[in-house]
Amino acid sequence: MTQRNRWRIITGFVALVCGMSLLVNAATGAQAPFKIGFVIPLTGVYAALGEDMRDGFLLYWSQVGSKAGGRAVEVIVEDKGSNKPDDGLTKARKLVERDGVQVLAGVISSPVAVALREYAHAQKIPFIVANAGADVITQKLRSPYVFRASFSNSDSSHPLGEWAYKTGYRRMVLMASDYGAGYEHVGGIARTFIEAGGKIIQEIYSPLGTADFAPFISTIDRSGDVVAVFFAGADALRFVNQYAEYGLKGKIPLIGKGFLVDEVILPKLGDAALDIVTSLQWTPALETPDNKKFVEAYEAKTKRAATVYAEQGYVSAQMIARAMESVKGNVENRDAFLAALRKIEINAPRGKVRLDDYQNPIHTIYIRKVEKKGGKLQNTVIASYPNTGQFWKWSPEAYMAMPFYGDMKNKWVK
Amino acid sequence: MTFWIIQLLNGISFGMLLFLLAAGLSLIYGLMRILNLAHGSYYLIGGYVGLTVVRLTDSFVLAALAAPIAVALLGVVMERFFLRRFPNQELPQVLLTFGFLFIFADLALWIWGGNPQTLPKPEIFSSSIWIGGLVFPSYRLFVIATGIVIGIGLWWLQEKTRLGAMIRAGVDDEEMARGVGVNVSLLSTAVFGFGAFLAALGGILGGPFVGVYPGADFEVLLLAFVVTIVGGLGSLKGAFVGGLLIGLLDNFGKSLFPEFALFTIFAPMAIILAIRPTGLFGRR
Repeated sequence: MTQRNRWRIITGFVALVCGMSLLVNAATGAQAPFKIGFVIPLTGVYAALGEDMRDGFLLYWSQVGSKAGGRAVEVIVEDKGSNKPDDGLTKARKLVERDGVQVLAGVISSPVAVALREYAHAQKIPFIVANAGADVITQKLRSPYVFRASFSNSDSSHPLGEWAYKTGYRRMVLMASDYGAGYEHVGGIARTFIEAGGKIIQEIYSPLGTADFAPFISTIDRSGDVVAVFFAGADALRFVNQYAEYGLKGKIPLIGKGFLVDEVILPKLGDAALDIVTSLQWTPALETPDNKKFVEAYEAKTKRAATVYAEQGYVSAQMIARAMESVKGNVENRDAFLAALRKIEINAPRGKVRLDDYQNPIHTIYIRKVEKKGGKLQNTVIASYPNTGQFWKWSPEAYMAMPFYGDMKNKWVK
Repeated sequence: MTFWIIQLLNGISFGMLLFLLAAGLSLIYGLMRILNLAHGSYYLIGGYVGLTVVRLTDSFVLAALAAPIAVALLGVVMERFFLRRFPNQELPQVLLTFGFLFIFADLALWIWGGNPQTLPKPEIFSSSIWIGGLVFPSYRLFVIATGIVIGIGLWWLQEKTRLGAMIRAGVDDEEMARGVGVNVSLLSTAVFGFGAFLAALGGILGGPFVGVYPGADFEVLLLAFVVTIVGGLGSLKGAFVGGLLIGLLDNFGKSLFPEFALFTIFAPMAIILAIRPTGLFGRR
């Protein structure tokens, strides 16, 4: 027997023993930790958002001692993903097929979420979307395995459209980034605003990543009495500044979706942001004990301000934990675990959260106004719409029979 | 009428920024035939360093000096220690600068984080001025003025000084220039550093309205390419006219035909390429 062959036999034995012990572990079940795979981008444009989401997720587990329903939890973070769907898919595959995770969570961007949705659906792996808001994920492409802890793009738009009409606005200019999410975010505002009796007088769409908004801003129809927008990230920062620079601030009120002045953008904006009204399911300025506790704990742990992404990560963890508690840690019974997930009711920082039949959150939507408090800008709640789901006041069937927002671009003006 | 004036000023101010971004790229290509894909990184790092300096010292002027100098040094290091090893080898050069692009992007992400930022404007230009019934930010007038001053300065440098003559000689015929005693090697390093300097200056000037954020390097690179292609590779005049042209076309295109917003920059480029493949002022 050669030296090499001997080694082969020894390593073979070691492998066999390891394999056996794994089997034994699997049989005794409750001993092995419940593995959760968390996918975020830590490079590229969404890096900072992914970091916040991850830290919110981990904060919850550290608060409960990485345990729920008597079962230990192990979180494996895949944080080198990009925003490319195939990349996200590779990470998810690695998590499930190599690390053996039993739940997937995370994901910032919608295309990645859609790609992972296919995979989770095929593999029957529960997947908690912690940001990606594309309406289809919990509508047309709904899957019994896909849950959302965050929002669908238009769910917080519907209340804003109604609020705008009630506030006395009648002629609205719509502006958004020229892509799917943009149409969904402003489409929701337009639909309920028109339904209430308002009129859309102009729609302006600018490319995602518009370096200079001046040409778009200077074409805004000044006979409008409100401008409703969706911009996020660097676009939001430029837009808000330039809206003020071109003298529209104080002339035509600016309203929009919360990402325009979220906690990432707001500290970088000066007085240009004052009085902007936006809607979202959360704000750090929410004065509830749950929220204050979350914001303080997050800031103490990370030394960064809490953001909507951090809250969504936190809520994802809460959802998983609650479902684990309902099945008393017996997560191997996947059907029971899924059923428990569908029925969860949690007290999230944002308030009560439960899921609709399409597994999208029903929560409170807050109308927030940018105010200065103690020298710092914040989104103060000025109105709230409790128990708001993605279908607003329609039934799911009636809602889904209407044209999708993606098809309504440039059709709101009559 | 005021609408047109505002759009004209918008277009010119954006055009001046484009000029600064493209000038360096064009100069470097003209003299050394290096297509520097890390050019957008100079904008990014210039903007970020400027931001840090403004935060530390509260001085925009200091930032406008410190950041371009720091980035120029970075350019010099890149040229001296890396690109120098691959003279006239296009593929290694392109790959190398592409590698730098990624390294700088990751470094910037690491140091300054992923959140979008804007540079604070200098105090005196933070207001807006009224033109008829419309408002125009005074900072953009400052950008226009700066762009024109730098444009004239560069023209003077290139046409009227000995250094400019040396650069022109190097662009036209490197071997001959060497033959008549021009230190092309030193000149190349200087031009590379200067190109980086201009892009970083673009980062400082553009920072307050375009912003600095992960990904800005790619976007700026693309814009600089378009302008250089339209104006002609290697031509400063081309960068100036190309920048203005693209700035104006982009602005009028977007405000008059917003549905074609993505085409307003690339359509002119495609047309120019079809009619004049060397660009407006390119020679080769």
